[in-house]
Amino acid sequence: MILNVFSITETFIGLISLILMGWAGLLSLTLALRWKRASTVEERSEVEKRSHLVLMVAVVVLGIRLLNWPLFYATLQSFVSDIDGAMCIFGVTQVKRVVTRISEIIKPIAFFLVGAWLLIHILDQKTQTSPLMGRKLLFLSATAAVVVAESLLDVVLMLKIAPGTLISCCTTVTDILDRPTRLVPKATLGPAYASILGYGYYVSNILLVLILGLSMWRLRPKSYPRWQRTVLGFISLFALFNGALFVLTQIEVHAPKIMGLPFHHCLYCLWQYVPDTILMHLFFVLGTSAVGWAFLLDLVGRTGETTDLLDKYLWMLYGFSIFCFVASMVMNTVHLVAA
Amino acid sequence: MKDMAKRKRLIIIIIGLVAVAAIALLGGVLGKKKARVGTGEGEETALRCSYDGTKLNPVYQVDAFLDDGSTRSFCSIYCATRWFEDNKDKVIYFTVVDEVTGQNFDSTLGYFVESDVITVPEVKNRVHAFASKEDALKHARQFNGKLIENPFGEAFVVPKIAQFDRLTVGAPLLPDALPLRLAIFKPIFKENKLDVKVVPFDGEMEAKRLLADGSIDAAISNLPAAILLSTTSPYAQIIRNMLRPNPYEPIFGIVASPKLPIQDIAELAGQSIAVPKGVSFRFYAEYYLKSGGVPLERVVIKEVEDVAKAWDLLIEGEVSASLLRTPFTEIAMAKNMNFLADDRILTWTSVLLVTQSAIEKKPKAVEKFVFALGQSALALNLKPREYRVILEQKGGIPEGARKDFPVPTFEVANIPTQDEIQPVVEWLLEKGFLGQEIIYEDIVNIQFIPNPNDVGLAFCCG
Repeated sequence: MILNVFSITETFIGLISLILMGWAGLLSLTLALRWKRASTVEERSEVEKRSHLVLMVAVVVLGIRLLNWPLFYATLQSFVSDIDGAMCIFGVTQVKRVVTRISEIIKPIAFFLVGAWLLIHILDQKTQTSPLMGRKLLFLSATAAVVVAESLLDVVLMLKIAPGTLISCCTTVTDILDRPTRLVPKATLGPAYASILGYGYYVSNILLVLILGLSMWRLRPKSYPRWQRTVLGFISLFALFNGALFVLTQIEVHAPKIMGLPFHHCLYCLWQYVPDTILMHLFFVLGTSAVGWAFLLDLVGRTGETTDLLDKYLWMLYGFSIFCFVASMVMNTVHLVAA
Repeated sequence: MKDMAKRKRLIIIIIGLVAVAAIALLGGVLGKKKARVGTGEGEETALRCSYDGTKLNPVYQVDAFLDDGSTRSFCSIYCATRWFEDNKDKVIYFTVVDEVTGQNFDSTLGYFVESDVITVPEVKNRVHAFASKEDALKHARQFNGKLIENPFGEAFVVPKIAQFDRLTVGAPLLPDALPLRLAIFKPIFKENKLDVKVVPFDGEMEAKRLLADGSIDAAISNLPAAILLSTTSPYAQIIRNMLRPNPYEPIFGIVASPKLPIQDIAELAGQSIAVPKGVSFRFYAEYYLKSGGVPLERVVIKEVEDVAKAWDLLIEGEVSASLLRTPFTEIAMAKNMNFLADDRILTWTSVLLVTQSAIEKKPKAVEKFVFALGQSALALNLKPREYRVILEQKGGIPEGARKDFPVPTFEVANIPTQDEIQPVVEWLLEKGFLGQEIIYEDIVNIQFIPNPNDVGLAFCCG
């Protein structure tokens, strides 16, 4: 284990999350089943009473877990100097390749679920009768399972990464000619794939922002057209596609330009050399997540009592998403112009 | 009220966007500084690899000099070759670092070994560069490696746009030619867009033959021989000095045999003296003897093949004295041998001679050549320790004397004056080597000598 302030914090948060979310997950599942079976107001009130503590713990722990994603990468970055051959986070991820890969896949999922659950919880708190209690508890148990797995991986990774390990870094993987991020777009878009991706990024983002703006304009309280959920689902899928396009464009086109290293395609190096791009990527992640959260909120949280509030939430989430996408685009453009 | 709130929200959003734009702008500027990967003319040194931003380790650094005068630095041969794949039309030359001496040199002169040893773990680079084949083979044997082809291509083709001028230069295996050797090794000539081929020769006769058959455009020679060569077909001109003696380092000297108690040149009367073949040696021998008041007819001059032979005869005591030339004069000094006469206070230098046809057909090439030699001489004068390995390897110094041999001080931008050549010309006339008086301007061309203030260190030596 490499001991520093980051790794100790990460391990501590991992252990606390593991224990508390393990407990909260099991309890919330039990309570969700009890809520489902409860037929009287008294029984439901009893479940509500018992859920107070678990919900409070969940809010605190999941709130911290939201911040854990950037902390995870900050911790890996702090290991760079201790790993022989590492010039960026990529090198550190090569020490325990499988565990780190799973961890890196699970983290955005956990981030999305935690954010969604917190929103559902906030929405439910605003109501008089807690109409979302059952779904909220069920959702919490599912989220807890993912968070437990994520925390476990964090702890294992922190303990397993040993200083002085010799690895090779990103250049040998991200800059080779047959890297998938080059081969796939080249095969589908042709040799001019780089410029298509460059334009595609702007077209897709601007289109998404326009669709979100249009949806905000069309979202009216007390009018819930049948097509709304389908549209929200479509926007979410589009945001997902936009996310994939963003990652591809960043790796293949923008990151090399921003870094001033035309042949280097590593996003971790981009964070290292131009740290404010972390903020740019964070804006993009939040923008994309907000679109997904809006859809999930509509899917899970729409009841008679929440309708008015929900539309307001959706409106706010889409507004937030637009701001994030525009902010990300502005930062990206400024960087490209300055490069 | 609603409008006010909306306006407030809009202002906050705009301020937010302006703030992120400012952060991006600041981040972009700072990021550029942090990841400094290449240099333009007169800029600081690069800190990171131009290919992937890895921190540079000078021991494994590879530098590319581009056609537009800018440079790129790479952490390893791995990165440099990958970058080169997409930039073949831009590179004038690459320099790699010799892993034994730490000297950077022209990659086309290198020997490359792929072995188990990883130099830059970030990119798993296993290719090692060496200036000498022996070192390369030694590394290969030691670390399970094998000699590989030059990773930059066996026939490094410079971009067409670079328009290299070509010159072929004859050089004796002497310390005098060190600026020429260094300019090829570093490569200062390439930086000046000059393709220089060196033809080694031994002795004045061979130089004359090479000039006569057009094999070389220029040659390094002692002053008396150079004057003689410039007046015979094909005509040539002296365009710069190469090596000048100084109070600490003579070039030519008469040294007494350690086996005899000779203290003064006057004591050589009736004694034998070994003098190497060639008009220059004859000039110096006669000059020293005459200056010492020794009549020529009273000395037994034993003409020998070369300076090495004169040295051997001296050491063996078969002659009373020998006329030696650098590098043997330095060896004699190191052995505290008795110098009966030398040129420490004289001004005659070895010089560079260029054929008239080369001056007429490629004046630009000659100008660049003289400038590059000046840069090379400056580098040698400023960093003699750094480049002594070239002197040891290519300075023509006998095996046992290499280690402590001092690096000579070279002329950066200078040419023989009329006063300097006059005594030599007079002697050549007196001895019948010259048929008639010659004009200084006919044999010395000053148009190629740069202003010494304009001669700075080449990038590859900086």
